[in-house]
Amino acid sequence: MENNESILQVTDFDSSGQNQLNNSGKWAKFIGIVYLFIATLLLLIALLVLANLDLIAAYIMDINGMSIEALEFMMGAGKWLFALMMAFSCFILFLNGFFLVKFGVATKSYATTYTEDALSGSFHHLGRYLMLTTILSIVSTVFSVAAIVYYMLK
Amino acid sequence: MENNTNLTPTIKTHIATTMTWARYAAILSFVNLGLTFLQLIIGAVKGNLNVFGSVFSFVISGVITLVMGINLLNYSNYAKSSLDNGDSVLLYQALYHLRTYFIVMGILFLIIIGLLLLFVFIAIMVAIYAAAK
Repeated sequence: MENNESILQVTDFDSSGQNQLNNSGKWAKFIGIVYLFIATLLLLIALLVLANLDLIAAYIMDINGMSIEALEFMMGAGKWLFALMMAFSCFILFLNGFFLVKFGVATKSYATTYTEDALSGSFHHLGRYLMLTTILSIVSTVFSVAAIVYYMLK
Repeated sequence: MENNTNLTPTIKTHIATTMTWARYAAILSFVNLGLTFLQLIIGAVKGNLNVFGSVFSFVISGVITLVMGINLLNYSNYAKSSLDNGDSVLLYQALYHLRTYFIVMGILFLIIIGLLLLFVFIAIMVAIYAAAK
């Protein structure tokens, strides 16, 4: 009985906005899949670069030349710094894609089932995605301010 | 005429969460746009700037950021009004702006993918031409 009441309450929502939400979900799913694809591609590129770092270093040596210090950094700490940055980038892209795809899947589920869980889930994942976007924007703002301070002091 | 939303408390809580984060994300995107403009000014004053390229890219990215930010902010404002008044028309407006936000983002992704494919195609053509020469 309680479950039926909750479905009836939620169904009222779809008369006004279900189509809009469904469209949002479709686009969000597409964007999410692109994010996941880019994350996978970036991970593959990072693995290939790390696996062939000796060859890449030799190639750069042939073209530009490189100091011993630069070569040591590239094969030591530089390698791990690169791996860490790529892993972090992949993780962020994956999270973005994951939340968007989950939002898209939940809205599609709501369009067919009209359950409270599906609608609740879609807004839950949308909230997570927007939270991540906000955090990334804060990081971007901090870097922008740092760049401005650096340019002004230079 | 006002239509009631009759949403359950759980869904209202989730909408309120998205509303808050959407507002923060929109405001931060405007702040970032302002900071980018400041960087452009500083670069121009210091004289180390390709003026045409920088202004062009700023205008393009600025318009996209503004459109997306305004839609996120509108989503947040309409969703808040809807939750406060229980009006489904306002919720419809909020979801309309959310849809526009994702459409703009999706079209942007499609353009980027199209350009990437075009570059790959040109690179392959150049490589084939160079090999045949």
